[in-house]
Amino acid sequence: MALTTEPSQDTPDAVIALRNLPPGATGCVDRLTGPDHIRRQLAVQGLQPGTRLRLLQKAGRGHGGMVVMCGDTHLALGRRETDGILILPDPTTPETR
Amino acid sequence: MTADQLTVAVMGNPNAGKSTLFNVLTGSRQKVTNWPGTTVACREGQARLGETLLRLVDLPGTYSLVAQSRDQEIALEFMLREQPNVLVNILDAANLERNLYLTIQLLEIGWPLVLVLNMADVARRHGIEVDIPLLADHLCVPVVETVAPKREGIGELARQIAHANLAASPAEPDSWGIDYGPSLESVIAAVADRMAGLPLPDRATPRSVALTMLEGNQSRDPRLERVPGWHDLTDWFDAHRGHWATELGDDPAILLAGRRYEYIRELADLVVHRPAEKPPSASDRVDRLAAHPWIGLPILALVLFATFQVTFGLADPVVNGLVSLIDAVSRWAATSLAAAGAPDWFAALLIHGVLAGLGTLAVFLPNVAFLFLALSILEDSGYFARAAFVVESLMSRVGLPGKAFVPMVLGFGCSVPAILGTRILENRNERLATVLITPFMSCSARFPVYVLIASVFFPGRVGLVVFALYALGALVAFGSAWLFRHTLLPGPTAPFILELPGYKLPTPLTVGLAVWQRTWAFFRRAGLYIFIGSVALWFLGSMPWGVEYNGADSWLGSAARWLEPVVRPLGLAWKEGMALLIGFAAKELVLGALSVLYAGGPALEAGTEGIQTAMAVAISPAAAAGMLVFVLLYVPCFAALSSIRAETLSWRLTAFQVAYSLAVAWLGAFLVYQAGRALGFG
Repeated sequence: MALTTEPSQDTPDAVIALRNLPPGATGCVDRLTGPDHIRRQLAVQGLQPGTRLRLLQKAGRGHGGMVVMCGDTHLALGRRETDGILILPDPTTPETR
Repeated sequence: MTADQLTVAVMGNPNAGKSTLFNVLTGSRQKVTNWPGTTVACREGQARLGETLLRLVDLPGTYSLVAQSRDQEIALEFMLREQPNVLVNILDAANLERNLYLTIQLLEIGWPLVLVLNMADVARRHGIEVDIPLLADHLCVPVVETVAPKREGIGELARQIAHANLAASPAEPDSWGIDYGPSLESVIAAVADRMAGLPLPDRATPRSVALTMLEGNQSRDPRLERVPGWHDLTDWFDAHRGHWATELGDDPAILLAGRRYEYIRELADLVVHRPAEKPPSASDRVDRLAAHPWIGLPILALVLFATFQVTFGLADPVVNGLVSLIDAVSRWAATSLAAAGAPDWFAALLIHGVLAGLGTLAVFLPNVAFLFLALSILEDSGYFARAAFVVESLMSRVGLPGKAFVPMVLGFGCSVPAILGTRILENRNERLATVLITPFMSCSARFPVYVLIASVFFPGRVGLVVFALYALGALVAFGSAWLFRHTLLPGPTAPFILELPGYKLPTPLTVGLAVWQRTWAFFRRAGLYIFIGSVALWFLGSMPWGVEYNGADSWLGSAARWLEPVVRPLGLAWKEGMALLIGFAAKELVLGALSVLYAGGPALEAGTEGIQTAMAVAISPAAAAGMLVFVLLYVPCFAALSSIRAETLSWRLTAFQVAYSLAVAWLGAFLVYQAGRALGFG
């Protein structure tokens, strides 16, 4: 997916918070919300609109950190960092909770 | 620097194999120094290339030129000031896209650059092939493929370094550059135009400086501060930043990163060939357990337990051997000096001061070296990143980041390297809080004191008592962290974004060098203090000359008697108070002091049995339990205090740590003693 420099203002119905994605599911980052300093660090790590990722581990039913895989990189993210990541899940994704 | 010496800065992402390559290039010709004017360690080494001597500087691993931690910040500023002749950027061939982000930034600052595609063998095993000539062609820089542990590609790398130094600047603005699109480019141009006429430092161009400013780089070139008119420019920049963000629809730093990754993806599509679907790797399979939210914690506990068992198991025979050796030397020295008619004070200084100091070091050093060995293996294998992740949620509840767990675990071995280890933390207040609480993690020096006292008063429950003390130390550390982060050192926690590198087998060269360098640094810092502390205590215990050594009339004894009212509410008398006073220098001196005070003989000659019998008579079980708590919680040693001062750069915080830990120790001991008395153990 091509990266846009203008973040979309409207959130499609299918877009969900990363914490609602079940482990093993894949999706595409729709947009990042939250404080600028966190979004900057996520962006430098390659996590930004258009990035495809797979959720590998999820602590405490989404109340803790997560491990995601984007490209060849495995990233561990804290709760605050995952809060602002909105995802468009792949259609093949199992039912979200 | 001689005319034939080239300074080469080695840069790369953490886990790109930078250390291994640096070690292979320099071998044993390397040293650990501090970055000028700081206490941040810097590795430097030498390599010969034909007639040219290379001075290689190993910069801390970083994902971008926007520094995230204090050591990165200092290193990047140093690099800009020092102006190395060539930059060598190490890339992990198996994770090229992410590694290229730093490369793009290095290309944009326009210095002579050589790219090293490292771990190409690992990439091939994953079915990843990189078209190196095409990559070099697109980026307009030389690219060398290496497999560091096998020394493959090292000769070619040396040739390319020499070539890059001769070339004026491979990344000429006309030959390579990213087009950031009309909106961003107009902002970049506006900032660059504002610099027209300013005498920028060597190699800095208006565009490169503009890009650095727009991405919010705190560690921008320190030379810029001296450029006339620079502060007017930054005021103008700060005033416009918000306006540009509104105009562009987002923070310029985030948009720059987005465009760079877009460029990298396009480039990777051309030069990287990979299988369509990647099967789960061995690392992925291990991580299903090691990074599992629930199973990960017991695994971590097991790993730590095994680490300490193996460490102390291996170190024990070495410690015993060294102690026996020093004991034998002491006896021989005592006999020889008496036979030679040496003055009493000289014999006493040598045996109770110098040799006793060496004896203390002999207990310390093997434990610390083996602990560093175990921890270096864990670190190099990639496991620590998983450990930081599984404890993140627990740590965040007391206001600390998951990464603070690493120095805290080091604290079980020795507070000194643990305090130094806090440099990996990004946020200042989190780092300071970790420095202040790390001494509560029970270090190995306190262990023999626990065993001795517990075996007298709680026979058959020594293991339980020692475990309870370790747990109490950790509990106080966490409680204090929460307290400090809500009062003295408040503020938001740093974002927790951590790469989990693939597991790898640690290389003997990397682990060996890390153990040697860390142990030597420990020896230089802590060893000196322990040694000086031992000699100073001997002096205080011997003066005024002629009194019984460490007796009630010695200077130290007088001080302890003067302080007796402070320890009396803990059920202790001046002798125990004096042992605790001596423990300020180093905890293992407490045992020596008790042996002298109770048994009346010199530390090295009195067996532990004598101390145990005398101690059982002197104090109650409740007071002994309180004393154990006091030993656990008060200032670990002079060396730890000097490390706290060096890392916090604040006498105020150092004094606070002393006062706070003494207050907590006294209160803890008081509560335990009074509770024990109430239960009938007084």
